[in-house]
Amino acid sequence: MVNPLVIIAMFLGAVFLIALLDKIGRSLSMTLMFMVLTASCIMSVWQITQLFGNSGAATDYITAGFRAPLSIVLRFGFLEAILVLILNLLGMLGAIYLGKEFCEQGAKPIALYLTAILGATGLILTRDIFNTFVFLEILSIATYALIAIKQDKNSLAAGIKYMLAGGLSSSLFLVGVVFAYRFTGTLNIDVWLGMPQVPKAGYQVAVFLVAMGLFIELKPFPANGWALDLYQSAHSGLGAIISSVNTAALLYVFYKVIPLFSPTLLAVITGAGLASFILANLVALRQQNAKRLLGYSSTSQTGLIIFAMGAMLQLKVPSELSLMVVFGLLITNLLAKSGLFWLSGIMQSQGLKSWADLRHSGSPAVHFALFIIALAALPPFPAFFAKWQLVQLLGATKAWVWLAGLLLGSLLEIVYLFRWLGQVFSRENEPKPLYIDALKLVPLLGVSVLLVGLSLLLGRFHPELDISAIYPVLAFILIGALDFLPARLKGLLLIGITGYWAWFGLLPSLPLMGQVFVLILVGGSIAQIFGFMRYQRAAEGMFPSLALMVFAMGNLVVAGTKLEFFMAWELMTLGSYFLVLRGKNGRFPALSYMVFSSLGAYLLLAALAMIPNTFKGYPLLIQTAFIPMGEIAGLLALLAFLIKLGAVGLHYWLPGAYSEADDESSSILSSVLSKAGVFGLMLVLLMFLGKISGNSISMVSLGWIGVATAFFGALMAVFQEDAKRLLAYSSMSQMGYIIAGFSLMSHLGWVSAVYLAINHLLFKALIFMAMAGVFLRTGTRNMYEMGGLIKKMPIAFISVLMGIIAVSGVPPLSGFGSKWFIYTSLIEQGRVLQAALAFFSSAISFLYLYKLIHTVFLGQAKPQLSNVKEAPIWLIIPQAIFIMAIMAISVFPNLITKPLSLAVGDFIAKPEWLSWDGYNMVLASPWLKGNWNGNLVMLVTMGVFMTPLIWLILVNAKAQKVKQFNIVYAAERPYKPWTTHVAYNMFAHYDKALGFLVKPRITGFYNGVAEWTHSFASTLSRLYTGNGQTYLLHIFLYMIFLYSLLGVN
Amino acid sequence: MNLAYKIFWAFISLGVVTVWGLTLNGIVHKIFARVQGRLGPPVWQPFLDIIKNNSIRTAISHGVMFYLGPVFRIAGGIGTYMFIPVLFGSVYFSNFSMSGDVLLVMYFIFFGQLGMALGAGEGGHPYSAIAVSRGLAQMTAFEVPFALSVISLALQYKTLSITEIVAAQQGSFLNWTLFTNPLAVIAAMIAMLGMNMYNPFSLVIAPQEIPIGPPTEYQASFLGLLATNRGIFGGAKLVLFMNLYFGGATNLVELIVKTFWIYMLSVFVGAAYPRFRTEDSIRFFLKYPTALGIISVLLFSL
Amino acid sequence: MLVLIGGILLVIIGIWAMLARKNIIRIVIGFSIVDTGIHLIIVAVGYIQNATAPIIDSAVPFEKTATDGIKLASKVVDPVPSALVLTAIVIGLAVTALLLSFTIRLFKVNGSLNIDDYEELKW
Repeated sequence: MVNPLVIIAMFLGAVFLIALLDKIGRSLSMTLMFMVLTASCIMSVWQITQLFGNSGAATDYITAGFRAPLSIVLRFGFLEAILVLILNLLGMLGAIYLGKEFCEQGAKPIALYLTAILGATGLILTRDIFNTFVFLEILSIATYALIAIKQDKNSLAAGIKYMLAGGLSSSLFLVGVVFAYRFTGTLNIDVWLGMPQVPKAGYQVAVFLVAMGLFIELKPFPANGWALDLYQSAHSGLGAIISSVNTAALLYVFYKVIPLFSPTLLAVITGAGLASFILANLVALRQQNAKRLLGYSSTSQTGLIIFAMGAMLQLKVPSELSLMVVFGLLITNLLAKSGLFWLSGIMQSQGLKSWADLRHSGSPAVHFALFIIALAALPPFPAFFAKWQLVQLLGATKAWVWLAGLLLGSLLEIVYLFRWLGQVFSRENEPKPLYIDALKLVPLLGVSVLLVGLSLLLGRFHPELDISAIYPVLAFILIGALDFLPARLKGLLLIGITGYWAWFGLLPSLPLMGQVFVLILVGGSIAQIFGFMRYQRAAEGMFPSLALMVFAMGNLVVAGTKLEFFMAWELMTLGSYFLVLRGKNGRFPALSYMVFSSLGAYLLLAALAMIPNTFKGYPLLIQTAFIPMGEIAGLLALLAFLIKLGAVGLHYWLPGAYSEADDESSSILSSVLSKAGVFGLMLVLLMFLGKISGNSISMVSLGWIGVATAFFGALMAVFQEDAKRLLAYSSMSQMGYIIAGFSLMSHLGWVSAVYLAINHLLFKALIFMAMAGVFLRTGTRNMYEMGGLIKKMPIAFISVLMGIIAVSGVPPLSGFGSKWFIYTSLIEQGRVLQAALAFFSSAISFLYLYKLIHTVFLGQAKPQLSNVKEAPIWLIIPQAIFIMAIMAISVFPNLITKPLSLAVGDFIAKPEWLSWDGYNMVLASPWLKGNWNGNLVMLVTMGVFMTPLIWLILVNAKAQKVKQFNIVYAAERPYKPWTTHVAYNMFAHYDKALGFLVKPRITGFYNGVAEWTHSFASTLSRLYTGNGQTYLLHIFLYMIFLYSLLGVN
Repeated sequence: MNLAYKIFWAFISLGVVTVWGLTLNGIVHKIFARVQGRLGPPVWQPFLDIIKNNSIRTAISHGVMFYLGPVFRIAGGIGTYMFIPVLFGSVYFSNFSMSGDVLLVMYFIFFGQLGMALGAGEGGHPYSAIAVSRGLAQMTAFEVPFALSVISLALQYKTLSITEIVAAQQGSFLNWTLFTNPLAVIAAMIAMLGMNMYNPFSLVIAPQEIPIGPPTEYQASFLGLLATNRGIFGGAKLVLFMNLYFGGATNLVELIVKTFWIYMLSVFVGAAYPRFRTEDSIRFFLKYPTALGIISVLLFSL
Repeated sequence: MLVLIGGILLVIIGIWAMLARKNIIRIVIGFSIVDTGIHLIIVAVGYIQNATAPIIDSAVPFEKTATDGIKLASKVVDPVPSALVLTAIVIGLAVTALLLSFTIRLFKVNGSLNIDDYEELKW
């Protein structure tokens, strides 16, 4: 066991010694500093190990030989030891970062720096409230003095503002402490805590002042202008220390005194924390300066932690649990925030746009992404688990307003964090070369390793997670580490490991329906990974994201606990986000994709918080029957998955995300990823099976949403000139049919929905892969710039032809099956008008499909595309796979219809009236009879096709091949293919008739929301006038405001 | 009945409908000519055209898809016909209707249209593409009342099987859908005006601006196939409408009489009215016929 | 009581100076006044009417107990606030000194002591 006094004494001694040693040599004083920091780390580790062995050991250390109330007590327990360890580790990394400044400026900053760390350490150790004040001041004064290591106008001015505000808040704290002492007669926190509440108003004011003193020091919105200015102007190394070490120490002090608060004060502080979280995130939206942005983020994170502390105290959450939450949030914020501050010091300019310079910098870019993702509380970082736990607790105690606030703030946070991430990684901004001091990379590496290590440990040992939950992360790390290898090698590796995992890990443990979805999600991906192997070089960043996404999708199906499911869901979103971002113009689409996905994820999170926990080791699919899901939870979850499916009204993100990614990525996103939404939708509906029937209002409405999505998606696709956008809208339309199918809650309806899902996977991937080849060879996505490619790229043409026949539902290909299923199932359930609208949409699909194939492959070839050749083999392999699959299920529909019926039969029993007679599928419901014999249809079609073909060949074998312009053209000879090719605005007449239905209203609505939010944020940010006195006024007004909320006279 | 017999009778039935369809075409040409005050070609002119076209020795092709276009077209026509039972109660004239129900027929109609559109597209002639875009646009619109009327029938007869729909209309002419579900029949008949592409919905083949539309580039035996298909496909559609709405037919005479008069509706309207623009025809189909269809569906779903 | 009121008055005056004066030096003086006021308040809080100084001598009878060390029998002024004030004064001094040195640096760099001239960082 270590007496903490030793640590304090060691620091103090070192501070004085350094002044002396520095005269001898700079390296000596530096060495001493590192020795002290290392020693205190070692001592805390020693303490931790000791406490592990002997958990009952006394951890309180008294001073001066007196017992508790009379002397200052220090506590060096488990928690304190961990915090001291972290702070000293961060201190050490921070010292490395500041090494250059220390070398130049000598003993003073080194001593001050050590003093600051001492102050923070003391704050953690002490159990005496006045001693707290002393350490607080030691920390503050050392920090103030350290500001001077950068002596420019802004830094100094900000220093003055900072000191005034800091001095003011510590004065408040002091007055509070003294008054509280008057009422309690003790300065020891533990004695204080043991006392009953003093009912006097004066005591409440005293506690209020103590709370305010600490709270203001923690920089709550809006009384934080002074801190923002400092963050913006001070040396990055100092910013990192203030935002991590200072904040952590102060938060721990806050944690110590928070049980003293009266219930009203607790509620007010909790609310203020939440408000700070939301509003600071809101204001941050408009911030363009990276360091100031970090300041806002720091405020918001601190607000969140205070909110979490207060909320859990109010909800009487067991302290171990609440500690876990607070610790998870804190540690992520500490590491990521200091890392980001350090990065900001590396950058030449603080404009967010200029951060693009990071992109080619190698490891700093990786660190940056890591920090941003960790700050955004996405898996696998500790904050994710903390937020998850917090939301579960808020949900379990039905604290809906707080939950909503938390999620709203988190969403705002996602916006600016990912906007920043996008600025760095998007290919839109051209990076300049960046000079990086190698020494400064050490602390970055340090915090990254800490973050990742902690995350993996947490993921590995989290009680609600199976080991497989971190497979996606491991795959990401593995492929990421090999990212320098050529694409083909990585592709093969990825195919190998995903295939192995899916075959041996996933398939055996799942019910039939799960296997179907594994086949769709993982199998569909594997087939498309071949397309990704077309890249000659490494194609950096593509394969790790892909691995992350594919593994996460597999996990989605096998997930047993709620957390496993949600984690997989978030990881999948993250992987796909990077794929979108990688596109040439991917910045904005990726952002809107992320924001909408996060909105969905938070809705899902709220919904999951409302249902009881599920069991580990059993796929959710087989647990759904036992999960009681309320209607509101169901609605939220449904909404979440509808966002993923791009249901009409929620589809804002869809065209951009599906079209701006790299071509192969687009293919996998729209054909495979969308099915994850289908899977989620199915899970939700499974929970309502037997409770809500297909003809309830909710399901009928869902059906209408489905067919409306199908209709509007198709109609919007008709008016696109960009092939990828056209295909994106087409995907949206197809998702609509699937939604409608599921909404029926009948055997036939679900079979048709899953059939549609599989069919959509096959044809959409087929078309996308073929078109990827076309885009690659022509260098454009505008269909009207192409034409006549059938002669140059016959294989692509055949693929697209097969694809569009399968989309449109023309027999004899599998597409007709999907049409037959969806109409019969809709009509059978009496959804006749929905069937009619579905029919209309599927007729509209002919328009865009013809536009696609005609303007690209038929019509007049353009001279500039005269040397286009067939796509590389890598793009043709997936096409071949999908064509074979389509042909197989077209000729032998039983291959798919029977297993699907069995799979659905596990949940909804197959009705008697659905049967197979050989290949003839017979429907003999009392409401509807019908049949479909896909095999015979194929044979008849073959027959009726071959007969005239043979005839034509017989009579017209030697048709003369003619050149491009040898056409009749009303007796004129056309001389320009551009004017002869009917392509642009091909359906002008349709636009005239029905175009008014698809004027961009939804887009306008969301753009409006975004604009208003930003204007509001901008208005709010005017609070920070830059004037020190105004900031002081803010502090006073804020205090008075909070006090008036207390309602104490 | 074994497969060989089945195929044999399918050929017979195909021959019948081809002859009758082409004859109807000839009659229609004559009627139009008389309405316009011309003498008009002889009734057997379509047959002569086909023979002539098939015996032209020179032909040009723009590529494989262009070559296959007419094949798709006629395969679509024949296929559509093959999936429709022609005579009620006759094993010989039931074709391959056991392959599927009315949904199959409705979708197989697209097979030929799509293939033809692709072939015409490769021809590279702008008129073809313009005509296709018009035709597709108009098709989406008239499919709506047609689909609604078929759904109404499905509600009425609780089946999608054409044979069973015909069976349900037997007994008296009052059992015909025409009398039991008149709104659906009206909606479908208006949709048929669009399908047959006579005035006022003739913009697809608009003879003045884009002479004959999609087949602009086709000649010789290609045109021969297309012309043959006009007979078969036209006949198939008529048989389908007869089965769905007019009680079907139990013998060939009944079939000829009924299909003749069904066809004449389009012809009379076509001879009497001027032409819609594409957007107007879309709006038209989506207004009154669709409303009628919805009403008839609602009547039967309540 | 008088001391307490005086302390509060000083705090209010100091705050007014901090909020209303434009010259940074004056603001620092305001801060110093607030500090002093707070020190007065602290002392006032510890003072007990008619009590003696907390020095254990003949004026203060006491007895030793087993548990708590010494137990005072008569009224003495609470010694703790006085001790606290000493610490607080030192800290206040340090902050004031730092503030002033920053002000001087700022004046050297920029030549102005008006706080309104330092509003470059905002929003």
